[in-house]
Amino acid sequence: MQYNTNDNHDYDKVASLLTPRHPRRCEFAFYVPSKKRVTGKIFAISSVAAMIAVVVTIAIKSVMPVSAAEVINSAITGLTDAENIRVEFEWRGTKNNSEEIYTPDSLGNIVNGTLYILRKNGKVNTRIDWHDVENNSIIFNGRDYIHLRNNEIIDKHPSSFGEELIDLFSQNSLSKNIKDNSVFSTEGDFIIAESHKGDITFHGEFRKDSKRLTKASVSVSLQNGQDLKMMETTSIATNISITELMFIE
Amino acid sequence: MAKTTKFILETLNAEKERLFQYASYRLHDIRDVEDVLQNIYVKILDNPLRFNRVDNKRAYLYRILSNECTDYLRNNGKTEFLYDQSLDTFSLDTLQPENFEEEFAMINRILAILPPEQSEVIRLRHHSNLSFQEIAVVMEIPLSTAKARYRYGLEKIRDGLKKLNLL
Repeated sequence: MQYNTNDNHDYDKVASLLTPRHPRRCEFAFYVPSKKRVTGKIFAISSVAAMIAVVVTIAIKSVMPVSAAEVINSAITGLTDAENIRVEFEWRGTKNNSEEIYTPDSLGNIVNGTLYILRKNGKVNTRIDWHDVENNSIIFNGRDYIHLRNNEIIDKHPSSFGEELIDLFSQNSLSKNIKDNSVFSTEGDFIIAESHKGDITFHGEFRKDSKRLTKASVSVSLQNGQDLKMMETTSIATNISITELMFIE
Repeated sequence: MAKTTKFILETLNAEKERLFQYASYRLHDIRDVEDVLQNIYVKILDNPLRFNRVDNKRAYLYRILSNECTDYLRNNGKTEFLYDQSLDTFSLDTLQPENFEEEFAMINRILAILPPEQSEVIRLRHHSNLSFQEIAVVMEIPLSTAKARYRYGLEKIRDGLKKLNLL
């Protein structure tokens, strides 16, 4: 590049403006994702659905009052037998290339989503619509995993995930630790069930009169002692109108 | 696989300071910067074989960092300064920042008057200390194009500041 002396001087001045004089001190260190960042088998593929399934199945056995058992078991049965389920939820996570798109992350931002489950002809179909700018959606239809962005296919590959989800809804599959560590209480018209696994707390609210699960949430205890909500449902509905068309490309 | 993880970490750590400064002057919020850097690490860890196959790993890092910053701003509802914003409200005080916050604002307002391909060359040059040859590889453009974009960018900034008698 050929400049005259005046130009040189001007370019130097501009370059000087663009060169940081007050850079931040870099104290950041890369770290391998660990359990503290809320990962693990329970947050595997379709982890949102899995998480909700775990919450509804924590409330069983032993020390529960009879009325609570009846309420919660009915709620579980209702969800297990339902042909379709729709759950609106808030999720704290980081976007990445994982199958679920947003991986649980205590340092992540909140993203809203809707989970759909349709059981038909012996098949379990799962879909999550992330309410983000790119309109990301993921589908498991018992045969394939499909990732859509603005309704265009980004990724598709064979996946048989689906039956594992129904197993999670089954009381028998839940780990003994979670079952035995559940705490139950009553608040007005609701049965509250809470269970802890390490620094993760599962929380479920069941309505006595309708015997339905009305809210599920997952929190994690941070090192500073605060509890951070990782996931919370905002609505849970069954017997809604959804078709198989939602679960194909 | 442990050996690969170690190699990936070594490669990233060698560039960490420059990656950090680049991300700082794009994203501003320290938590966003750290999120993005960690996201890059996790992405590479998710597919280490792909990273191993890349010829110029350094250029690859800056390329994915730039894309990651753009995606992060878009997906989190944050915007970079709008292109075509003029320098009309600049004053001498604006050009003498006293801390990172003021400097971030000044640099990004200046770069906002440039097309993205010119401001990107300038960021890689001044915030990541890359040579023009390295910038050409990162942006997958000829060396002459990298130099030309840099020059045209500086010229436009120079002209804008001269018009306001600030240079």
